[in-house]
Amino acid sequence: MGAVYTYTPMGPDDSEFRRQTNPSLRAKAGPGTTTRQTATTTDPYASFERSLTQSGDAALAKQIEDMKNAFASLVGGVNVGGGGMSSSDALARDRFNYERAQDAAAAQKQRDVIAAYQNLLSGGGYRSGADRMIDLITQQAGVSEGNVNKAYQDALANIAAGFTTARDLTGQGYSALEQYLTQNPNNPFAGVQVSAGTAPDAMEQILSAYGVSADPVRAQVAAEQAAAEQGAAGFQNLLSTLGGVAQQSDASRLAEMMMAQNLAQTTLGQQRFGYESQASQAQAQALAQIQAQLAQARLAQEAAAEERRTQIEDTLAGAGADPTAVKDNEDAGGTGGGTGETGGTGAKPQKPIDALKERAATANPDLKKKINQFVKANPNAGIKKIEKAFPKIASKIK
Amino acid sequence: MAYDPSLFESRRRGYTENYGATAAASQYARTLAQQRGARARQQALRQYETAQPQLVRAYSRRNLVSPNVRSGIFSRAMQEFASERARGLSEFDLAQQEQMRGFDLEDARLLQQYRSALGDLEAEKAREIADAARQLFAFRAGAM
Repeated sequence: MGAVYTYTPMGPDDSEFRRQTNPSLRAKAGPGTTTRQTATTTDPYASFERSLTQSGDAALAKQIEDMKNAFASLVGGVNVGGGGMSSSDALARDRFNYERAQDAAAAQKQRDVIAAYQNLLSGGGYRSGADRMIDLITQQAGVSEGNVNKAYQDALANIAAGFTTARDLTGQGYSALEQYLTQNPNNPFAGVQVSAGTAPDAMEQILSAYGVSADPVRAQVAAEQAAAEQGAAGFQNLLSTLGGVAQQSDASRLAEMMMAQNLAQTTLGQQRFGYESQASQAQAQALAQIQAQLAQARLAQEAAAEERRTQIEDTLAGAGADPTAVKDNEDAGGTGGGTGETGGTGAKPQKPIDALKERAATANPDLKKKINQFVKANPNAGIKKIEKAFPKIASKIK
Repeated sequence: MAYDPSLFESRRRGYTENYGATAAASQYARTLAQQRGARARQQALRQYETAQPQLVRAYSRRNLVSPNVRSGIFSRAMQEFASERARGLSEFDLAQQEQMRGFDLEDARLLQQYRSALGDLEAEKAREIADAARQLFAFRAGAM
């Protein structure tokens, strides 16, 4: 083989490998002479490698080394009759190194996964999605409740306005009737004139002319007049009776008018209460339905979060990690950090200790003092430690 | 059902026209009755006026009456004649008065009926307004 292979040796094994595969170097070097020394003086890539190493471009140097190794493996496979490390040994060595690196990377990856899962558990990141969903559900429920309450208030306003309008219209209608009945009393019998008429003359002049007394005739005429007056009185009594009936009829009509007006107004009031009751009932039903849906949706989210937690704990247990060790990490202040990077779910949730600080702002002076002391003593306390000290507050900031 | 005042005006007009027609008919019947009664009374009066001289002449022919004679028979006959005349005229007058009172009564009854119908109409109008107001309220409250 007339070809001269020149490359930068990386170690004693590689130097031997290079010497075995480079005839010119083999000729120049005597017995016992290392090819590294010769190569240093003759190989132009050696100075390049040194300059790379000195310049700190380790990545590029690593690439070159990999290329050299691959090339040496190729050449070593051809030079099967030579001495020293065979190409198969080099291959085995490289394979071993490769597999060891792969194992190390896999172990590191598993450790990273376990750490990520532990962060999820200790930081509560496993339930961050559920918490956000619950927040959204709660917000939507608030909006829905607001809409229901607004609809109820609108309904009440409409009912009140409708009632006022109806009451005024009804009052106007019956006021007009009352005015008509007052101005038009219906008793035409009161206006009938009753008279007995004039009695016929008794022919007194004629009778006296013949010397005849008119007394019997006068008595007769008087009797006739009396009968006429009695008839007139009787008719007057009849008219008075009819007039009384007409007056009663008028009074009855006025009373009927007032009763009808009262009934109409009362009915309107009943209608109003009925409509308001219906609106209130509808509001209560709508709110109850919203609450039921809210509770159901929350429960579903909590169940999903719990399932997720169980899966993570199972995964940790399966990987040989102790899920109970999470408690120590949790109280070490690792809360709330697992959502952005490991969970991939978006914004970081608030740390429990920060939430506790916020609660202190609105707490009474005694509680505020206790919280401040706790925060000062435990600046990185997790939810478990907070729960021991302030169980009520912890239940709200979980 | 919406409140429609024009329907009430139509009915009011009908009531008024009907009352006007019946009242006019009654008034016309009254006038005719008055005229009939007056004529009959005048006729009776003329008959009495005609009969009275005949009665005197009949007693005069029998010398029961003269400027110097005043018999009791004649006097009684004259008194009976005068009484009969007064009774007859009174009966005419009473009959006429009773007939007129019947018309008065009928007129008053017609007027009362008319006013009562108008009162019922106004009451019905008020009820219908109240019903319309209730329905309006129901619509406003969203119950219909």
